[in-house]
Amino acid sequence: MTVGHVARAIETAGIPTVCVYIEAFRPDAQLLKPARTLITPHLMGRPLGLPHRPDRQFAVIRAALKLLETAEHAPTMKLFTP
Amino acid sequence: MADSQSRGPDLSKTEPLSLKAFAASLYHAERADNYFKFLHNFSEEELARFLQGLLLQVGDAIDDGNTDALTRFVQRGQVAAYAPTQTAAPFRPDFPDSPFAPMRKPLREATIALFSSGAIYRDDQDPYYPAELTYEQAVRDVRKARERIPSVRVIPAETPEERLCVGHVAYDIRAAQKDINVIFPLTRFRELAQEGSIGALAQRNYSYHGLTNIPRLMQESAPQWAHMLKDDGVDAVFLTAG
Repeated sequence: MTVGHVARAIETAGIPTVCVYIEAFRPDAQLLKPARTLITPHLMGRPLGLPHRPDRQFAVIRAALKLLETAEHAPTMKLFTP
Repeated sequence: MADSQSRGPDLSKTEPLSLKAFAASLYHAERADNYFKFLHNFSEEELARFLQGLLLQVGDAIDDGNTDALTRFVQRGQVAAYAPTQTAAPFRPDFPDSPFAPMRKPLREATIALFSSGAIYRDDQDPYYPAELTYEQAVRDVRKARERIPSVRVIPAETPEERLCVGHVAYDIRAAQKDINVIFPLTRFRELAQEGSIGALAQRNYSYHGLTNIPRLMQESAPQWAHMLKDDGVDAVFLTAG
């Protein structure tokens, strides 16, 4: 789950980030501490949910974008609840 | 019903296959299956419990025509198998800090880039593993992926979905092959830009193979990629992990 390393570098360069991680990899995000993380109850390889479910995909994206706007400190981690 | 005993293999001459050996064979080995490779983390007893539960869920899913509970059961299995393995390590340090850049624009004015460790590439780009290997061979050779130098692919905003491919060797890519938006939601972000929820999808979006040489990623690639995003002038980045 190396994306946390990339998010940290992007934040260090001054650009805000939000990461979507699946629940199975939450401990990884708790250690790497990217600035904003949305944890989804989805399967590996499907962080935004099952294929051809655009409503779920939009819901995950909107929850992640809300984190971008509302997080006031890092790390901020939220659980996505469908 | 056919009499399988008279024509089946002579089982007395084959090694008995334990549940543990079967689970091990799913992990980048002869029965490689990235969907269920997590079973190799379970003890024999945990495996038996999981498989029995899976069979019950399959039966209910068939009868009810609803796979929600089955999906949830497999997802809980993945959490139980993977979560305990993620402890602090040189490639996964318990960082004492968390760099933070505040949002400086409202979302409806912001240009947002996608960045995924899911090994997405365009059909005219290299697929992250050597061309002499088939995808199936690359899956079995997963240790090599950890040695490869990180490399990034630029995915232009207007790339049609049918031109996007997935080359990650360590997660099950079938869902992403059916609908790339499960991990790289380019279409969803185009729609959000069109409806005005965000200012724009960045012209340049990025992916790399998350299983890679991590020291190199931490020390060189990630800072370089951050500067590329800075040069692109994006206001925020949406990242996904497989």
